[in-house]
Amino acid sequence: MVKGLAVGAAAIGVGAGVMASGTITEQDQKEREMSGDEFDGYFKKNYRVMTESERQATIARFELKARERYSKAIHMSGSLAEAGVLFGYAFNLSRCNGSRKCVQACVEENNQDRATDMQYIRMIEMEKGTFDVEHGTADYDHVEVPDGKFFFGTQCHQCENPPCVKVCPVGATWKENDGIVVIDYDWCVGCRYCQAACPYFARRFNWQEPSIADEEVNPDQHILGNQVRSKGVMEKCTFCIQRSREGQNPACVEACPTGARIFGNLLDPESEIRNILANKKVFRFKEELGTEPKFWYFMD
Amino acid sequence: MKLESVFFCTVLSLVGCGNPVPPSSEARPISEGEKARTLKELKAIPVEGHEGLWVEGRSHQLKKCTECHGSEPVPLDVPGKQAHGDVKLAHAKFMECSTCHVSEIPAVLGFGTKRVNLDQSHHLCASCHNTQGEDFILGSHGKRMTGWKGPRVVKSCVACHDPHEPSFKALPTMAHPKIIPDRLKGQEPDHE
Amino acid sequence: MRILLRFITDGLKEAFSGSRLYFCWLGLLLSGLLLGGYAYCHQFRYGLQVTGMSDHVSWGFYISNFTFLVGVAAAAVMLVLPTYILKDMDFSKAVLLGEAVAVSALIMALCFVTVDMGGPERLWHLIPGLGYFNWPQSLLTWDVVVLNGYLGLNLLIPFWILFNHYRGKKPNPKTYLPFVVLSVFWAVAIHMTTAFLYAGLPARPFWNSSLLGPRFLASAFAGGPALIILILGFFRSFKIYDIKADTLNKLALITTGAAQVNLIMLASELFKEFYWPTHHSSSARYLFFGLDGHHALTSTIWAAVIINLVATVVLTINPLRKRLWILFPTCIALFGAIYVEKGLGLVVPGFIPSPLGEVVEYFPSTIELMVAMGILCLGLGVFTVLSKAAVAIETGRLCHPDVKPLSPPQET
Repeated sequence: MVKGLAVGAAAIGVGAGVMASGTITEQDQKEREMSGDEFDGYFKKNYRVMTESERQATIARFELKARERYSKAIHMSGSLAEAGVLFGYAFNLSRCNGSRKCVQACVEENNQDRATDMQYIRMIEMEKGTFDVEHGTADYDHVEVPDGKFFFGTQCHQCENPPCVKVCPVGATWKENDGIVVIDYDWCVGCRYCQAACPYFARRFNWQEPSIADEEVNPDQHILGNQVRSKGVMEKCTFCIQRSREGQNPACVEACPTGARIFGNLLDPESEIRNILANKKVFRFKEELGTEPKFWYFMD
Repeated sequence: MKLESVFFCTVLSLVGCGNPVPPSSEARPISEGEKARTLKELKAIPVEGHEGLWVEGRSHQLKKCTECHGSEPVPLDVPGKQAHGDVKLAHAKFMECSTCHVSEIPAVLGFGTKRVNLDQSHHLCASCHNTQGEDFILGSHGKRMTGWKGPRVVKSCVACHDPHEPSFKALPTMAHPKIIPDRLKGQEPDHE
Repeated sequence: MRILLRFITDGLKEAFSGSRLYFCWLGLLLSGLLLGGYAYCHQFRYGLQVTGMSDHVSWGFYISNFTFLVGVAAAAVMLVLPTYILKDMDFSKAVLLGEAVAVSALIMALCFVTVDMGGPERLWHLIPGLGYFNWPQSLLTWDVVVLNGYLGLNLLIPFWILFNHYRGKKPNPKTYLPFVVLSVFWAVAIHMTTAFLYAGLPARPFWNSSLLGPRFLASAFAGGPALIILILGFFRSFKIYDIKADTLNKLALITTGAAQVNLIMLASELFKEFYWPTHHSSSARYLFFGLDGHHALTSTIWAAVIINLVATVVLTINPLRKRLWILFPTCIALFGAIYVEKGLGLVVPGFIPSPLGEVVEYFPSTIELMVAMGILCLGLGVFTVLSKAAVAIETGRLCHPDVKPLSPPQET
């Protein structure tokens, strides 16, 4: 509220100053538009209840703001879920060698804060003989895979019955029709109840204003995905919604050097993910909690 | 009675029931033209017996024989010289060059009576590594080159596994996680 | 209408007049509030990175205080119930002060929740109709409803009574008794709802227990009345307001019973966690014994449990409890022990280890402590203002100039 009023006051100030100087330069006009836009932006609705034209206006506004902030030509997409598509993911525990190329690719793709090294994917080095993650560690490095260890990767499992969606008091997070659990970054009030509710440690909070070097920004952005967020809001893996809705694989799947990650449409009986679910002995992490994750694990 | 129903209607309209989400678009299938373009770009070879599965072409990535040997026929059975003898072979103890390269022409591979070219080498690998071959067809072994929507083009076996020296080199880790944020380090009173 | 305005202005005038000592107290509270405000500005500007919270332990000192204070507010019902429903006259004097405690505690709790938000300027998103109110799915929305409702009730009922006393009238019980009965049930509701928002999370086995709600109630009804005993004792000792020793003794009895139940529940939890420790016991193991070399909370929780035990035993022994000079320190000890057990001793271990088995500890930062102090000063200030005006009206010192004051003691 205060921010909005301050911005409004600034807009009035700029306008007044410009009037006083007698000429309205293009820069002034732009500034006036920008602060007016931000003022409007504060009062916008929750993305999930907007009309189509409101969504388009919001996306346009975000694209403009991003282009002002970064030198690259940011393109903001608002692509919708596709009928007949439900995304699923499989992780081959026999193949992963813990290189964390997936983590690196994810960070480069999704514009996370660099100062705090925010990472959506957690790779855990596990002791052979147990599946208890408490006996594993994410704090590992190696050149060659050590004996007696295997690697367990986890990120948002895009649950069909997501506890994070249930607990959000303002409905800022919801499950889209293609199964991706998304966040309206401007609607989130930062209460972090979803972070307490998630059994997979999937959600990340911006404890400070995120910062990315200009040249590292990924310009292909989605309003519900990898647009650059602000402080005080929650974010998480979205199965690279900006890529997956364009028919591409998420960055982690592309980057994996051993082909341990498989992604596809659960509603397509010919897909690799369906082949795996039908032919491999798969399991899901913390299945007993009833979250119905769309992320399966298997071994060869 | 009327007052109660008005009250309930008001309450229900104000609260988050109904679970609205943005609508889905119609199906956006990939066009045949796009599909054909992708297959051409990757020089994809259809996998025999498995419709809808292509393997990345291999022969276009290798040098043609004529690039080194010119157009002259290559003399064979030269005493003291092994064809392409500089290639280090470390693939199972019992294997020799002729195990796979069954013909005088190195580009022709085979097992039993079957003959395959370099683009179909996956058949050869699968003749011994049959479980991996099955997994290759299934999708749990190997790497897909195209997105989930495009035609299913996978990398050939030899794209990752050097057939002469298949064991993997070490792959060092990267992107070490910051489990405890920097701003909170050094807070703990008596910890290492 | 004019009388109402007069009531408010007179009340405020009364609240801001007094001895030099009183003004020193108000000055102290104001400076604390301003310091807290400054610290909060710092947090608002730079984000929650200035706190000790992390992705692992995402709720800390602020939410611990919120949880505890909701319990204190709920405990006001322990005075309301005997006064209005059981018609126990001994409590009649104390009940308005108890409700003032409830109001202050609720305001503090709401402030703690607000300062914990990453985007407090967006809190309007909670308003039904204007924003998106995810009721009934989200327990936080239930909490918003019940806490604000309880605040309303606890402002409305004493206001009505005091306003009438100010006008020299006795309010007709029929006008406020239904709301009083409602507030008794509402008090239980606020604390059960707050407990449910923890207990409903399958991701956190430390909280995901059916006993959490009852435990919250037991500890609230032990710690809350203990605080009220201390406040009433203060008012009695400094002859600010005449509270009978009988009132204090009866309250102490309630506290004792609740403290005993609280201990039984604690024993039940400890048995469940440690008789056959499972994967789900890791948080309890961290709290009481440490985990993988991390043991920041062990000495604190053991101290709290032992103090709780000793205090409960002392309270159980009648001759000890009846002596006010033993009762007061015991209440302080009990209150402190429950503050630890229900505050940091509940919220932080729920997050350790993380769902992936990682241990990242939590220590409140200076900014968090300063903001908390600011909110404490605000709560104390609210209580001071409310009780000063209420006591003046109840003792007949303050009333509308055109009426004769009702002679004390009041019968409500």
